[in-house]
Amino acid sequence: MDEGSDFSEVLRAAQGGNQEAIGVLYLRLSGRVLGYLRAHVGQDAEDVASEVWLSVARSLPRFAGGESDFRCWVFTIARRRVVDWLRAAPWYQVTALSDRSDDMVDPVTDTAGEVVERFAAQDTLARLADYLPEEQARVLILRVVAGLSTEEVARVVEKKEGAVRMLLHRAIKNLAPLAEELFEISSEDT
Amino acid sequence: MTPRIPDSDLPRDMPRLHVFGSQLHLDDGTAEQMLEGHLDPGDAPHGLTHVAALLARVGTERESVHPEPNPGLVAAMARTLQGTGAPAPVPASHVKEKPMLGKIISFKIGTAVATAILGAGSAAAAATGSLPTPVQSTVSQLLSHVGISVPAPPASHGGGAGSSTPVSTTATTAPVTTVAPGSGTATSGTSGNGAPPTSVPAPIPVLPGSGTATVGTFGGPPTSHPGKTEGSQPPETQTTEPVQAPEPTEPPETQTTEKPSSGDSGGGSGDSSGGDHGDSGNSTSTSSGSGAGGSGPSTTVSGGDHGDSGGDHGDSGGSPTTGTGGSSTSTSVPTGGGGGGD
Repeated sequence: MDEGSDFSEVLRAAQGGNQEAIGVLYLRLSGRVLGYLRAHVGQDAEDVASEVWLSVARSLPRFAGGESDFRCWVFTIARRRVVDWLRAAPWYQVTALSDRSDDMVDPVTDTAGEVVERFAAQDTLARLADYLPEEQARVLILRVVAGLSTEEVARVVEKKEGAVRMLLHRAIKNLAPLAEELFEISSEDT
Repeated sequence: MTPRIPDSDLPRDMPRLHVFGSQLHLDDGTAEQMLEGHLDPGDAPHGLTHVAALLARVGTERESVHPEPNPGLVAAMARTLQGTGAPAPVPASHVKEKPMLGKIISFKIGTAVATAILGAGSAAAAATGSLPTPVQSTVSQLLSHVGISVPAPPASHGGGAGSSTPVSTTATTAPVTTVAPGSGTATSGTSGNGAPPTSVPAPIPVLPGSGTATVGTFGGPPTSHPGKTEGSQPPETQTTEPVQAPEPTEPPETQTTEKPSSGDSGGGSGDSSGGDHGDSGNSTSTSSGSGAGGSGPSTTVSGGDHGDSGGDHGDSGGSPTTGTGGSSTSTSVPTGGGGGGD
């Protein structure tokens, strides 16, 4: 059983406690889940990811659906863990994440080269998205970093697909000046 | 045209968003391609080139990331999963609703069980007279209306307005004297004017510790219930069925014992209910007579705090008295207080 196996077979085996099947399910989504969590909780992403996957395991016997359903379900759990983390985190931790006190990407002063060098593209996007309104940032991270379709994002955030599409459009437009300035500065430096 | 705000006046967290956002044109197809990371930056609309480049890079990075297996976490997941018992799968749309539904059902069941336990406990306490006095009185009164006899709390006073209200509260300890075997025992307050003592079917049902229900009938004849009394055995541990006062018949011709009480004027009015609805205890019959020799309506009040010990007119308590009328025996049970007759 590997990543190419039929999802329903893998799911059935995993629900029966097959450790190999559980590993396959984990590998299919763990990278996206971790990227999503890094965008929201920063360096605590690994810990939160473990909680997410243990929650998945607890509820897995009751899950029924296809692969898309499974993705939505896992990211719904991840989103809830993020909310829990934000509630439980000390205020200074959240503030630090928001202000990017030590690893902040400043689109005005940092050059693109430095940013790209210091952060992966996902992290760069996540930090730029931090300048966006909360809903736009949320759907943008799910759509781009987590790799969910617009319809899947709508299911996770419990909004209509049209509303999510509109939020994504606005997010792209609002990202434009940030990215423009980032790359302009970069080109000037070079 | 929107006036341009100097950059120095912009909040730091919103750098120049207003300049670009309204001027960009973005259709759905292009947006989807950009979000997927499939749009070449050179093909992006004006102003979105760098966003397209960034999103393309994110997409590439997302697809190229190959997460490493995490055997420890996977093993922990397997242990967790095996510990859940693996119930039957349900549709994904129901997964998030199950826990809340279960909580609600559990809460309702728990509430019902707790209510049943509390209700049973309260009922038991009420039946044994263990509730606090005010509560017991209220419960006793309320339940009496529906025909359920519940002991009223012990009387703590014997006199109301204009009433001597000799309340019999200690049936098990009250000395009962001179009771002929086979004759009825009655706790009576004798009215003045030669009104005969009232006899009451005995034993009057009481619960242990509760007062004795007695009947005072003024002007009413003593009634006997042969066979219902067993000597002078105190009326204890009887069920609390309401006791109906006997229909008044002829007044007794003889009265062997006069009460040592101060007497009262009850003979005329014959109302033995005694002004005060003293809580005499468990089952109380109050009777109205029509004075000496007369007959009057007989009412029975069971188990309420309106219980009157009967014979409140002039029952001074002090000592037990026994009156016999006809074939019955009337016994006056002292209650200590000995309120004056009205």
